[in-house]
Amino acid sequence: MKEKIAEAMGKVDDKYINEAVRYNPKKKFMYAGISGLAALAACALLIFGISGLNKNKPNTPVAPATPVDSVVCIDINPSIELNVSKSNKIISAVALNEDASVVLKDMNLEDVELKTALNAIIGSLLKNGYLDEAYNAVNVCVENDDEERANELGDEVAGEINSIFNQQDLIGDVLTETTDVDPEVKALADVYGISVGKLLLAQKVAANMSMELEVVVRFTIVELWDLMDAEPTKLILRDEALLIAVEDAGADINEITMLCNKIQVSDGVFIYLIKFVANGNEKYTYQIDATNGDIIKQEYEYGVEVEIPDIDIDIDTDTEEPSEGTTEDTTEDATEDAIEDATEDATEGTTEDEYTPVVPTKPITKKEALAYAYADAGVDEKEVKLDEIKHYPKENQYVIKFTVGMFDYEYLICGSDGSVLDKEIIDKTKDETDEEVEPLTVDEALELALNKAGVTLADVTKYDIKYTTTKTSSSYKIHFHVDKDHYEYNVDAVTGEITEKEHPTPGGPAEKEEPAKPHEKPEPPKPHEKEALKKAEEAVEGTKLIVTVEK
Amino acid sequence: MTDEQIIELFFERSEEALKELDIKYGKICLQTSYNILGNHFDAEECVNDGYLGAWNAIPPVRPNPLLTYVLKIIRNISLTRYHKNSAQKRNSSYDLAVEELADFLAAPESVESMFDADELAKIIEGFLDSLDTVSRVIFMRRYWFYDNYEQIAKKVGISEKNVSVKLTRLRKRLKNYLEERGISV
Repeated sequence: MKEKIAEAMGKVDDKYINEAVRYNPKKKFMYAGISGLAALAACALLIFGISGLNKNKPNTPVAPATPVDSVVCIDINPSIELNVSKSNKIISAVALNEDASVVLKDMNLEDVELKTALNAIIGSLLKNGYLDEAYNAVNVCVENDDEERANELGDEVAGEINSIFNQQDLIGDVLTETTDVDPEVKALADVYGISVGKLLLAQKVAANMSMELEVVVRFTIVELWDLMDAEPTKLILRDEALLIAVEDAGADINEITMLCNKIQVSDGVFIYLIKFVANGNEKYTYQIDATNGDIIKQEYEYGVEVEIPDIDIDIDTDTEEPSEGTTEDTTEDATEDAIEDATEDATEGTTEDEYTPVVPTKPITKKEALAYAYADAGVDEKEVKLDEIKHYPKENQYVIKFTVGMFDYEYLICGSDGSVLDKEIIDKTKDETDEEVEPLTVDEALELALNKAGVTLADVTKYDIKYTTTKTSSSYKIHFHVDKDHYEYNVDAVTGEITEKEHPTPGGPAEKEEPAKPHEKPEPPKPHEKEALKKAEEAVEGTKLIVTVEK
Repeated sequence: MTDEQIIELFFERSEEALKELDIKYGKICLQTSYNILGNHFDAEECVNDGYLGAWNAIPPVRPNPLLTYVLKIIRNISLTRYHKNSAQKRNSSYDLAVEELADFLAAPESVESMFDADELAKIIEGFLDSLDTVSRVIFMRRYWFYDNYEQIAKKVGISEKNVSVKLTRLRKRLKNYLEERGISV
């Protein structure tokens, strides 16, 4: 048996193996994945060592004292530009975006060997959570008019990064490309806050997917790589997705407070992640399939206190303009517009789809963070077994994991105001498939009852079936007669369990039915059950006669 | 070095191909083999045999992705070594993973006799398709790579306890899935 299963597992399609190799947890879970930082002490020391040696020197960028021979751009999510001399020493290191500033903070790489600088940068990337132990994609682009020199340097950088990955037990791919020095491309890359390498990649994807460059540049390198191979797809408008979500929530588009509306790529599927607050304290989170507008996931949270950002929502419900993701106006044609749009975004500071609450500098204490999480979960501190609490200063967020009885809780708490940014509650007693199980059909329920009685449908002279739903359960009540015997069964519509029976009753009248029991009133919900119960309340309650057959 | 560049080295019959392959993927290959054999020496031998297998197959094969291809070779070699080695100490991650699954689906006369490995693989693929990504990765990491809970927890960014709970549910779900398809377990 063991061998058979092992053999069968060995024959499953490569795509499942590949997915398991390349799986990269979402940022929320990246925190937990970067626990083995002790192994990176060497890198960290290197970083601070370099920093210490250059304390008096200004941070990047540094005015070049020697001519720049090549520009090496490294993109993961942070975009870093290294100006390199002919002797492969760093003349200056430039942070092209905010993430890169975090990575290069306290580092002065001037006059440092390129290899050493790469070590330091990768150490910092790891330390700051931009690399993980699952899979990493690094885009390296070398700018030099001398193609041979560019190729040589590209290979050297890629080889060094691979070697460091290997030393650090990391898995990843490095894609290297070379390009001539092109001031126009450089200017556009600057506008987007990305490297020339990422811009070139984004331009290819934008052309392939017929999407606006302004949208594409926001994807990560891994996503861009995935999109390079993806089938061209038409996407619905961002606002269309919002309208779908708002309509589904039964809210008024003019009354909602927008928290987030951004596009993501997950397993090759384009998804709009939309978060908004309606009616003051009802928080909705939607995942909308960007290709067809289907609602993939909906979450509802009642009673949240949300800081309302001052964001205008400009929705033209009558618009029938082509999708922003499907416009033909891409790459070169769209360059000027893209620059203009991106510049506007930059000056506005906060865009609609990248709204981030303003974070005060002083975080709440761990004790306070715990109190917020416990209060939200509605649990008593004395009952709690705290599994983990971590503070992430960069994001100013607390990740809190605790257990109460048979429930595992994971909370992401905002470090500035204690608001619940995300949470997951796992009921260990409940099979996660429960919600997905289709209820039994009438035929299936009848068959179960007949099997239980040890008779077939041909033996039955008369039967009737009633379907009853309550807030917490649904079941079939099945009566039937075989000759003079009367059978009565209750079949749980979800589990198929036969919960009540009466048989046989010689001569028992079929009409002798018990009056319908009043619906059982469920116990008052626990706080963590509120959400589930609210959904359950939407389900139809009552009893209905499905079928009565007399032969 | 990219996969394509390594494969080009294979095509050029350059031994650098094996060196680069080992630099890039050596650790995960060794870990996968070690999960099955529970012995570093044997695992290293199997990895080297796996590299040789890749050397013999490429060209003409041009695998994409390269890692998956090499891992499959090494996994097969490691399993063969495991079965040949009768004195193998039965406490590897492979033993634990396969036994927990086999125990749960314990009815040798049903699954084993009714389906050959190919058919069972197709059914398992259907089951995998029914899962969400995280669950699918957890299942594959446990029953293909034979990772232990700690390794899976790191991989998917959840606690070990959570991995344990999820795997229990996944086994139950697999059992239901098989039963729904008339495979009594």
